[in-house]
Amino acid sequence: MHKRASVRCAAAIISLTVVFSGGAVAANAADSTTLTDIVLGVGSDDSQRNLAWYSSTDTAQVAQVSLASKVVDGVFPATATSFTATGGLTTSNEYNRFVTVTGLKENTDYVYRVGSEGNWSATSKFRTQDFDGDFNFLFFGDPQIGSSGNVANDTAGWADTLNVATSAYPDAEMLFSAGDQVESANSEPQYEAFLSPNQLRQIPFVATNGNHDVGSKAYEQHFNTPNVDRTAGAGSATGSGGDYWFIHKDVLFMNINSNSRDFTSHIKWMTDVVAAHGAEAKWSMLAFHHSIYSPAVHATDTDAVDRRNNLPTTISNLGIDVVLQGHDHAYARSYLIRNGQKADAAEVAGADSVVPGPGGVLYVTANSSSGSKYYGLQNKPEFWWLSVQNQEQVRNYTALEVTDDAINIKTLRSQANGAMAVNSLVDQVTINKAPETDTQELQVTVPKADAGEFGWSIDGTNALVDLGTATESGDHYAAVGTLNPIRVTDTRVAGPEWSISAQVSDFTSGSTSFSGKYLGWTPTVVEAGGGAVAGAKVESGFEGGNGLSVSSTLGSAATGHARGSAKLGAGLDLQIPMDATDGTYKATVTLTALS
Amino acid sequence: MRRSTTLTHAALVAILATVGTLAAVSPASADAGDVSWGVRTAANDQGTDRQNFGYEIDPGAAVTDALVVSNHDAVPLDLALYGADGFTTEAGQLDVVTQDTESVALGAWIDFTADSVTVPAGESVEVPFTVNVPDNATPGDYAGAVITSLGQPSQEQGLSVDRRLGIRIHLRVGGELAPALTVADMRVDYTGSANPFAAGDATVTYTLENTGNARLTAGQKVTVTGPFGMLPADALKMKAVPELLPGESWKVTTRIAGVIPTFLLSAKTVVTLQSASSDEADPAIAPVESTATTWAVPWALLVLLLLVAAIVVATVLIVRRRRRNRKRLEDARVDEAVQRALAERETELV
Repeated sequence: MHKRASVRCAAAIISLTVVFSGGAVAANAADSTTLTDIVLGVGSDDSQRNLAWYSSTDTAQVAQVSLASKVVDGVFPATATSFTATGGLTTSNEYNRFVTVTGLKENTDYVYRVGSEGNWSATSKFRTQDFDGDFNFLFFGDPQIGSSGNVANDTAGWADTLNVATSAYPDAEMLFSAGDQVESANSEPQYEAFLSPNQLRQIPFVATNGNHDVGSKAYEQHFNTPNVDRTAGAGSATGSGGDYWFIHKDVLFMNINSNSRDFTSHIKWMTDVVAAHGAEAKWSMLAFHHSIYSPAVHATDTDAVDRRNNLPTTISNLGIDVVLQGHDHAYARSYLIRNGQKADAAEVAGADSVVPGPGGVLYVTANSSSGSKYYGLQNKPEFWWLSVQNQEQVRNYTALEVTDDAINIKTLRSQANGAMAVNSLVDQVTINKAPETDTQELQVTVPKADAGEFGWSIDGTNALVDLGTATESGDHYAAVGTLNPIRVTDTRVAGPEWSISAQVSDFTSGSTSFSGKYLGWTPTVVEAGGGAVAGAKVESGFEGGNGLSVSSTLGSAATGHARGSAKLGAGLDLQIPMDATDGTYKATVTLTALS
Repeated sequence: MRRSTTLTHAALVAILATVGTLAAVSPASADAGDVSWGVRTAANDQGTDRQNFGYEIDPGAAVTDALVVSNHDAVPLDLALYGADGFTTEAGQLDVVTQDTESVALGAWIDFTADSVTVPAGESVEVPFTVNVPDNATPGDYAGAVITSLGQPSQEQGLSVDRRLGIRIHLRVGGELAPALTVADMRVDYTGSANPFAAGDATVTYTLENTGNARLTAGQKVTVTGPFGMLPADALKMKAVPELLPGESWKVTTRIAGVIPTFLLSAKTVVTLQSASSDEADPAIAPVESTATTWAVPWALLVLLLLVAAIVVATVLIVRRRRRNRKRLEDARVDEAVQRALAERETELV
């Protein structure tokens, strides 16, 4: 007992130490500057990181960075390197601070804090990995915190998606946003909510300028992006703008402010960047917010059409491999597109492996990562570019795994949808480097099934119902039997919902009748498959209720169910009152399967 | 009475016997047994690889489309073709009216070039149809289906089965869209517990009515509170509201356990409307609220308190009476002693 108490005492001391080191900022009353909105960004290359934060007062501040290995007993190392912060007054009357941390080494854990002597932020960590070779990063569609009207919900969805994604991809080297970080460009509470997950201080965040970010300077005051050219895709006196680029592990990333439709400036900027840095890169990727090959409501917007008419040829000519986009709050993956047209007429929808020839570009549009807003698919015939589209109104994220020879793009649910668990696959495609001309490679493309069909096998005779022999049962006559099982097959690719309902007419005999409500049933899945679920039991209406006189469900499958086949049956239960007029009765059961 | 039941019994046997005889006659194929067919959307100007049919058509306009019917059997298949109006079932699924019920909206606007189709064995046939929206059609959302139905010979008796396989159609008729929803007949009932210290259950019921012209789904939150918003309790795991077509309603019943009887109980529901259609450009719809109140008297506790009070009063009365009795006896004893003493003194004086 005594020993146990001393152990507990030691535990208390340890926790107190933690409290004191964390509380030091508050304890020092000399400098009451509050430091908020700290976000870690990418630098120009792998040896750099950019930091940005907000400060309540305009004091001289630094970022201190140290090897994590030098932290002893939780004390921030005195030998840390300081980087002087720049910045100024923000539109929300705070002060922003930018720092570029340079000289980072490969495969190293670092700790950092920002502020000034006596008033430091909490300590955060980040890790560098190999500066070349394979890597993966995570791509997120429009978090748009606040767009549902409920900042707390949107933030919870965003935080959960980040947790799910970074747990599934613990080595992810970037968090890449498709833009529209917040609903209202100048809302500091929304920014604070958006930046609240700790991952934004640990893994470099790549911001894209969306239409909801552009109404204020807050976007460019919050995000410290490298190599910004504010003359290309320029902002306005009150709105954010600029195009920027960086290189990460031999991949050139370009990010343009698509709010500006000054295509001349974007095209010149991209052309210049590729001319200067294209040779260093094994792949190149472009990101901008307003998707030009999307599946939902924004695809037909006049501004989207304008971008679609002006950008694709340049994107093909510059040899860009992948374009990452948002804005339409629904998932889409394009066919390979060259100069604004389907590059290979033979490419099948949903192919899981593609080999782009020269100028072939794959465009990905991300669904909502926070769940704050979804747009329904338009299913318009003129949307020739859609290889895959998906809208299940659950949160998604996309993991891009980059190797020398291929880019694998997997889009996953960060939120379960019925039987589809968290991290289940929405879509995946691998972009393979075209084989060298002097080598011969074998390749086979496994096509996805064609459009697919909803069908059934049902008894073609009228022997569908066999109720056996009715027996007297207390105050009524009862008959039981089984519905001949029905096989349902659904091979439609997207797995849209289906259901089979039944309704029984009145039992009639000449001019007399009794209600169909006296028939009840117990649906069952005789053979499971394709996400089929049996309908609820319906009691005979003898005791009360409507029985099968109202439409009841035999079975159904929810949106997004697996392709496949199921067998559905039902136990039937007829209970007729003893005072029913005698006669020979007939009734019709209408079984309706709708796809 | 005895005679009547015997006859009913006989009638029932007749139903079943008839079903048995008809089994020998196959209307659709030479072989008795299963018939397999499937439907899908055609690939044409209206779209490719569609999940089902969806249109936006202005009043007076029409759209021509087609479904593909595939016969997976070794014998030709005759199927009837028609359109039918949709409705939401009590289980929340879309179904369409049976052949006995005349379609009056979308179902009535669907025209097939023929009433039936014969699909050769193992083949697929593209079946065109037209959706003609009348000039006077009300703007808003409609649901229905194009139906393929396996023909059946007319029967004199028995339990026959109409087998229909179809593809749903969602139609939005152009014009002003006015989504609206009301909460009707809201009430809350309270069931207390026999245990005076236990909480009871509140049951909240109401009906959601889609009073607008757009199909809708809704999120809902139900909370019960005591007076002045004390002790709020939320309904958990509420069943989702299915897509409601214009004019349809949906009954909601939810039980909230662990509600403390605070004499007056208020229930409030906040229904958040969501458009179920694919077009997000709907007018924004404000959440709809409704409240109801009921008495939630802690009867068991009150009875217990009354019992306790009665015991206390009774005890006090008994104690008082005993004290009074004791005093009276004591007084009598003293009196008697005095009398006796006085009597003795008088005796001495003598």
